[in-house]
Amino acid sequence: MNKFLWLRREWQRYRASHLLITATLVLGLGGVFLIERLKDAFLSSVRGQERELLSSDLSLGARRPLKETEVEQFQKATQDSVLQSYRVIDMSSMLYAPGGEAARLVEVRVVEPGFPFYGSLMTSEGPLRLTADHPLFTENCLWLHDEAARLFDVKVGDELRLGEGTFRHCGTVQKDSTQGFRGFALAPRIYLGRSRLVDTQLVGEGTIASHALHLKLRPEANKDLTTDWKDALLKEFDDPAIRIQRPSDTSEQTARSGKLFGDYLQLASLVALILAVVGTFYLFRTLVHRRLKDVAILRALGVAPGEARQLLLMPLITDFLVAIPLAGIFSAVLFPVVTGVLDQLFGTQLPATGFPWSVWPAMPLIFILVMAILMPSVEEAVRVPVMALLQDQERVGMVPWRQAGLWGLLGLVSLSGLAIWAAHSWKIGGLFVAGLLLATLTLAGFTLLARWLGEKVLRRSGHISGVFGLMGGLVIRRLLRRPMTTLLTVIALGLGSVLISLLGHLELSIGQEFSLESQDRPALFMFDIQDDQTEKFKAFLSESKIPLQALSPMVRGKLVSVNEEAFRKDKQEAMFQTREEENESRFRQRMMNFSWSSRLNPSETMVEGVDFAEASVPEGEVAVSLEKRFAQRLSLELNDRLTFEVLGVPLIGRVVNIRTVKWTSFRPNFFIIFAPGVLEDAPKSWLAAVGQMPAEQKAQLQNNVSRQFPNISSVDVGQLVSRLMELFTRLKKALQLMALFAFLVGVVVVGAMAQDQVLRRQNEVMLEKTLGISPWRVTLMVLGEFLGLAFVAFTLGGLAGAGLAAVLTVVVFEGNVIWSASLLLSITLGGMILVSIPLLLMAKKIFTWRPAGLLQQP
Amino acid sequence: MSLQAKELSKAHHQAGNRIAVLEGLSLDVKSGETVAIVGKSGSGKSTLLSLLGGLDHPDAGEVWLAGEKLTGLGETALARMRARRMGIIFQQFQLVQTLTALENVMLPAEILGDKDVRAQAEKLLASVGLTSRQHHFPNQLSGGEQQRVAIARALAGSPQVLLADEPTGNLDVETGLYVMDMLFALAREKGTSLVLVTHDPEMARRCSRVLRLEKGSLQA
Repeated sequence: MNKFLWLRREWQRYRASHLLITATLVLGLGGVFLIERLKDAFLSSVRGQERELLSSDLSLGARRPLKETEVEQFQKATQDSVLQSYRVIDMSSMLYAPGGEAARLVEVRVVEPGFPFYGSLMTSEGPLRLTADHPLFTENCLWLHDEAARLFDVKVGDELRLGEGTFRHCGTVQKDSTQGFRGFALAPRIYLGRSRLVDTQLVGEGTIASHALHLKLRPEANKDLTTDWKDALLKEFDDPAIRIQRPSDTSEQTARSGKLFGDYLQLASLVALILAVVGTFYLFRTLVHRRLKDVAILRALGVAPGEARQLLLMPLITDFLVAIPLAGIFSAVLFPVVTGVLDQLFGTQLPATGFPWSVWPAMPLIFILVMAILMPSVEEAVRVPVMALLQDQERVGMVPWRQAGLWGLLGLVSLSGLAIWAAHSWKIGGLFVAGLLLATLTLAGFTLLARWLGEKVLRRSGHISGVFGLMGGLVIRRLLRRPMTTLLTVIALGLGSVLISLLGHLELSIGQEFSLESQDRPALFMFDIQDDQTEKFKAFLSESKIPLQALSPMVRGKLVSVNEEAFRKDKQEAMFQTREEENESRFRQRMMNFSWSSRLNPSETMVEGVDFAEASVPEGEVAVSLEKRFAQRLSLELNDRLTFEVLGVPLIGRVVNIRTVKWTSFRPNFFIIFAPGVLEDAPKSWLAAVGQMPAEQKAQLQNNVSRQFPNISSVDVGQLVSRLMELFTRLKKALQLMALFAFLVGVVVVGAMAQDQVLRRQNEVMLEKTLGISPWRVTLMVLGEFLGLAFVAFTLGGLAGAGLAAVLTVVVFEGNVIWSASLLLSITLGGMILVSIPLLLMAKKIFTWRPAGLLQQP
Repeated sequence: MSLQAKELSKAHHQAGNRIAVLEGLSLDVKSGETVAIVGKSGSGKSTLLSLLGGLDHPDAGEVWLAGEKLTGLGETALARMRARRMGIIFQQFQLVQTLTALENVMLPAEILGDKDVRAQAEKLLASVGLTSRQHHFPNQLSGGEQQRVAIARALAGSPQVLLADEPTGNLDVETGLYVMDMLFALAREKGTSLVLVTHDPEMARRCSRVLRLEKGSLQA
């Protein structure tokens, strides 16, 4: 048999069905392609700016002043290739507005002449050229980011105070190529010349500041050597506090945040893909059923089952292959629309990209998923009882449950693979699939239960027109007795609304959590309090009658080993690294903050182990408490023996309890807390939290603290919360965009299913008219059936999303659950309005079908 | 009470050509009379039946049922009239797939708003020998059983006229004979007029009158 001829005829005869299948696949694939495009664009934007972000070719840095020996080693390793160098210090501090009345936290970047080697600080007069004679170094000048200038409402020439020094606002930086995406930093940036730093007296022992030495390499120097230098020097230093950064390392952090966000978007697009596959399954199954007789004839004429399978699958594979480039085009068309929205939300400008080739690893998985879902329908057709069908009895073949189960398993495996690919995380990917399975099983269970119960009631009922009248009775019977259509429609519409409801409820719960004006929540969070300032600081607060909620010491150190096994592991470069592996690897490289305390603070709850007072540890060891998630992430358990190092001094700790922390309390909290008695002599700074007070008093306190203790920085917790909420809302809006896409794909899929169902029910419609039901009632019944289903699907989906949000709120955010009836109602109503559009388009057709058609059938 | 067709004409249009199917056809079916319409394939038998049942509109002419003129009635009025006065039996059985055998039989009476429909439907199903199958769905029944359900349904609203379009066309000979025996017996018992479209001369001979449809008109 000429397969190409078969293919051509198939397309000619079932053009509408194949167009619908291709269009459905284009929608599903298009969403995945679009997100890959966005991720590619984001990464290429970040990578394109990586040298500008670092501002140099290589840097040596630490969150402490660099030691001379470290600088010498660094310079020795790179000396032949270095053209120029400068130092940069980054820290947080309070900046006073003109008149010294209002102080706000700013990110201070202290620079030397020549900064930046790459990129620019753009002002309205053009880029700043920071030569040695620039006012930034020769005069008491500050350059403020436009956001800082707006915050302080200052104009050029106004005086500002930073630490102990008074400065003039000499200019506004409108665009800073050394800063990643704006809006993500908690405080606006200002620039200060290194030569003027001494005036501020900000850098002292205990102040947390990042110090870095940046190098510009000679043009002829081999830039690839930076990787070798980095590896060799890190081995030589063997200190997790030291960071050596190449341009690619700088972009890593920004890229990581972007990728994480992109991964969540990709998961939302997977929902759209799954809905499209559900739609494809439905359309393909319908097409196969229409072809059953053809298959039976071919089988009767001697076509082998394998050939019959090929004939059925070939058009579908063609549809899939045609859908790939079309989805590419579709995503290219959508790209500017979506980037337009994202640009508005994040102030980015994502460049246009070509076909998202990074999606290729997922394509075989998508193909396997589609095949696994559709193969049972093909098998039903191939195993058709030939004679029964040729005698006009519409029957399909039975697929052995073991084979159906294997296809199901293959589908599940490919879906899991896709989810892990999209999330870059075993955990999130696994949770996503588990959530989907749970949602599907719940919906399936609900449908089967409703059918069972409904059938019981219907059997007992004396007539069709029960409580809901004849029309209602007929519609209920259709819904209950076509469970596959009912279930697929509920899933197709329900999953999209689950996402929208989940995001909406999460926002409400988190918003409420952050907006609670709790008396327990501090008004101000203060840091960089020096050891010798604590008594004076306490006295100052006491005099001002300000309640001190917490004052906690903070010591920096590293975890060296766990149960005598080295904790720090060499970073492995791998083709595919999951987010959990990345996080663990990063955690193991980091310096950590420790504290000590004799008891838990109000935001902590012990969940395992015993209190420090009751703990007995071997001699020479100290009792240690770990935060639950920190312990889980690093697989640390009760009774583990941990070896720490604080400024070269080893400390042996024994885990005696695990505790949960309510981070939204905004109190000073730590992953690792020691029992008192060992850390007291280590170099440390202190963190403080002060209780709620009127806004005016709070501003006054910030100003007074800054005046009396210029090195102490304070964060207004209320402002921080609103900034976090703003960021969350922006991320949520972008995710919601994708959820809306999934929702719309669901609606389109249901539109296609409804269209197909209506065509398949032409006989039923004509029969009902023949039996005496008026055309408008017949039309209303079909519309009512789908709208009823949509109502159930949107309501169930909305409730399921609210339920998921409740679980996440309690388990992840440890907050209070909120249910929004208005949100649920808008999802249901909005969804039903959308679904009615394709239905109303079909209504005329249903209304005008003449019942005479029944008599003219062969 | 009679079913009358006066000067009925109907044409189909295909690829711009007018194909006349019925031309000035007239028919009078008396109360309780059984009439067979025979003719070649494509002679217009099903078209005639659809006009008699008000399922389609003639290009010209009129259809009257029990003194009521069907031609010119709107779709809703025609639907009500069919529910009240007609039963139709199709070659392809045409049962509602989502209703059980019992519910299919109950449906016409429920459309009319009758209350006590279950007992009557059960009786009808018993009369076609399907008491044990009343809770089965159409796809769980054989062809013969489906057609028996269709007959019971056609008689459910106590119609004055039964229109049957090749009711044994999809059944084997033995089942076909059994079903037709049942149809004639029930029609006779209820005094219902029967218009039967068939290819089968044996079936046609069982009717009180046989009319041949040729060139758009009926000949005795």
